[in-house]
Amino acid sequence: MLFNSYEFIFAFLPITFFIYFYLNNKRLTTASKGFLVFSSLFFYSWWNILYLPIILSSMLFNFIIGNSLNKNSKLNKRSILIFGIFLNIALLGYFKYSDFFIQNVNLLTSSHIPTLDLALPLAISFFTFQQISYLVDSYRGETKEYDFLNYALFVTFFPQLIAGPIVHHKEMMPQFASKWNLVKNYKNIALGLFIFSIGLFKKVVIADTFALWATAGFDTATTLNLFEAWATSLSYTFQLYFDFSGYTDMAIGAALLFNIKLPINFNSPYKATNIQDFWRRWHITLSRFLKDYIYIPLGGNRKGEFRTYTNLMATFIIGGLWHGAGWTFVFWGFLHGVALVIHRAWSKLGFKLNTILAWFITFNFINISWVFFRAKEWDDAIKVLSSMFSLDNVVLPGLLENKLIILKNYGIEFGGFTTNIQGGISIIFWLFFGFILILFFRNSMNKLQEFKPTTLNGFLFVSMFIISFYKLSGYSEFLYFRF
Amino acid sequence: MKKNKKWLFSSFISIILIVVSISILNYKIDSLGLFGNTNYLVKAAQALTDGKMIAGLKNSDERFFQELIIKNLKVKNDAIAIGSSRTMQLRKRFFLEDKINFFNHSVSGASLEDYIAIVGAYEMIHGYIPKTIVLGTDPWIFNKYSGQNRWKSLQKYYDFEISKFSDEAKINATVNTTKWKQLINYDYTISNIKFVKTLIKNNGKIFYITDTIKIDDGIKEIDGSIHYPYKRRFIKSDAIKRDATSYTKGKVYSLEKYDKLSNLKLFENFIKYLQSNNIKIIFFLPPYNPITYDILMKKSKYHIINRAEKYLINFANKNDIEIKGSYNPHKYNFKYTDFSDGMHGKDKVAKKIFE
Repeated sequence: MLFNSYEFIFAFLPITFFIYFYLNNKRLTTASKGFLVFSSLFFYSWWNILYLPIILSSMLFNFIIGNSLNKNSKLNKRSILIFGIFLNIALLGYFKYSDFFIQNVNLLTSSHIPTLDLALPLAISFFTFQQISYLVDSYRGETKEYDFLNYALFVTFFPQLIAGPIVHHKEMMPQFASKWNLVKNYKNIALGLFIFSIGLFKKVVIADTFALWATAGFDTATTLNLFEAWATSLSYTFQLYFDFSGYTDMAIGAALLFNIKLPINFNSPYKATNIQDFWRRWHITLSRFLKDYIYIPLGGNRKGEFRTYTNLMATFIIGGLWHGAGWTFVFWGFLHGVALVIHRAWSKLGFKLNTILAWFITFNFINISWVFFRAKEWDDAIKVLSSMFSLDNVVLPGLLENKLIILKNYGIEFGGFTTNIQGGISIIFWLFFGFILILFFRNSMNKLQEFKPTTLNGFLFVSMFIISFYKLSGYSEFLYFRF
Repeated sequence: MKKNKKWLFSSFISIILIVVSISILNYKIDSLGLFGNTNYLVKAAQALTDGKMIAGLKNSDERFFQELIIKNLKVKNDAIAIGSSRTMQLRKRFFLEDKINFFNHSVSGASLEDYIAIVGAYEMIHGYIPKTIVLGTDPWIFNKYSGQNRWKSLQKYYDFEISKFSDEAKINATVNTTKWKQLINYDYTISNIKFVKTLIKNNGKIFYITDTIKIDDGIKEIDGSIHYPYKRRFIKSDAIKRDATSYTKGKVYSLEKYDKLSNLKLFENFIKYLQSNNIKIIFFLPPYNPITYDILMKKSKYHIINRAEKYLINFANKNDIEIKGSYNPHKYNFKYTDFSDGMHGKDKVAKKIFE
């Protein structure tokens, strides 16, 4: 069930909300938690009930391992932790990376081992990472012993189940346990619905509009002119941000209805003026996971400069691979690793760039690296990038022909300058609008902190909800569901 | 707390009022004729059945329009064609004598259920089936994942017809939720706004009668066949090439998840029922653009197109059915410029096949 569907907005969410608080009102708190777990599993099974045993067994396994880690001696704990992490990675690896591995073996050895063609269980990357962090924290003695119901709620709580934010048990468990959160809170409801409507608008109005041009440019067009290539890459850059941050806003909003505060996941990432700054603003909970559970255990920056660089590279290559089983994802992670290494070396030398120039370089690096992230095949990436940096195929709008006819002498053509990405002049306005939004508007988390039940906010809520509501009729999945 | 409660209450009331108002407007304006509230489609259908060519009619529910045409028929049709947009340019003059009454009832993305429903409409409304039926058999009619469900606009005729030749329980008449969803659909709201603007601009006219096809507009001839506006009718060869290639990128129209032929029993029962009523059947297999076809044939998953053709040829041979055309354009030596995109032939395609 998608957040941006009628079933979720008009059936699942209100029914779950009312029954949950009805049970709480009757002081049936265990039943209400049980109901919330049941609802979350129903929400998960809506896509494919065949995935349900996978998440249930993963949850049970990690709960048992987590409890064992709380009880055993230090020596045993280490073996149990390794065993727990190994099985989690094995599960993820089997479903997500088997075919990638087989394809590469076939390529290297010229063999013909058939691929398994496994369907990737929904949210497996997210719930696996979340539970690995639980095991590591249990090993470190940072978890308390919770019952299975609370643990199940921590893993399955539907707002964050499918695509994060990746939450820590220590930020969730106390909230689930708090009796203050069992009572309906109108401030949280108003706030939650307001943020939910912002997220819905970001997804169905903004991201889905950019998606048309990004899809046409990457998947359909055989050639692109200079403008089309830049419009394609920028469209995807905006689509990805508005899609994923829109999803996160909806998750945060839905959770707030139940008085649960999910961690912030985006903080105006495209305002970043260096790559380190970007990773502090983009998919913050994933960055936190990568830092806490990969970069620091590898040694972080404690073992000299060279080792720090190696650790950065390793962390980002793993981050790339987490996003998808493909060399384009690995290369995307590699590029970001290299950028972080260069940034670190640069900072050490004490150089500083003008802020606007720093933003320009950072944004363009991010935009270009997303091309590898989005491309299904290397050829698609090369097609977009080569056209972005080639002056051989420049087409300008036909209406400029009379004014700039002299440019024809330099090989510049006039006419359908967006035909290959099925666009029109509106692309220019949308791209401009996209830049205005990412650079000059306060983000939804700022809005969350400042929210007051004013007429203006009421108008914004009603307008965004109504427009999104009318755009809902098509099926449009969130990009991060496939990771 | 009170402030938040009040804010929530007034926001919800505003949302409900706005949604209800827009839904009422969409229902009343009904530019596609989905709810049967528009009479412009009735007038267009009457003009056609009165023997007048119409132009400018856009964005209507094509199935509903065919129903209106059948209801308003002034003559008994001897022959009809039913197919998808790939059959829409099949004209009477390509293969029939002048004295024969013919109508082309093709609708976009036609599926097997559309054939059954349109024949059902003839039987239910007029009590007869035209003596000759050209079925524009696209390869996707045997794909259960074709995603074509627009035929549901004609569900009552489908149910009526299927009860005549199938013991299988008919599909329960369900409420057509797709139709009602249009009341709260953004595109339909925009379409209705544009419709009102056009009405105002054209002094209340949404289509017009023409006596020539030499106009830059979408035209429906009196035999139901269509002409595209100039941009598509006289498309440049480089644009055809581009469209023919891009057709094969991403998801190919109605041909995805198509790994085996489905609906065969329903298809065969329907044909046998028609033959038992002495109806002459012609299968028309509209060719693909050679560029498109060649690219598709390089991908094994689309070889199902040839399997569908083979099945149709075998079935036609066994049951004495005439077969015209082929999905493979090379059999007729068609060039890519004989097409207006990846899958729609220009006039010369149907003409060459039927002559």
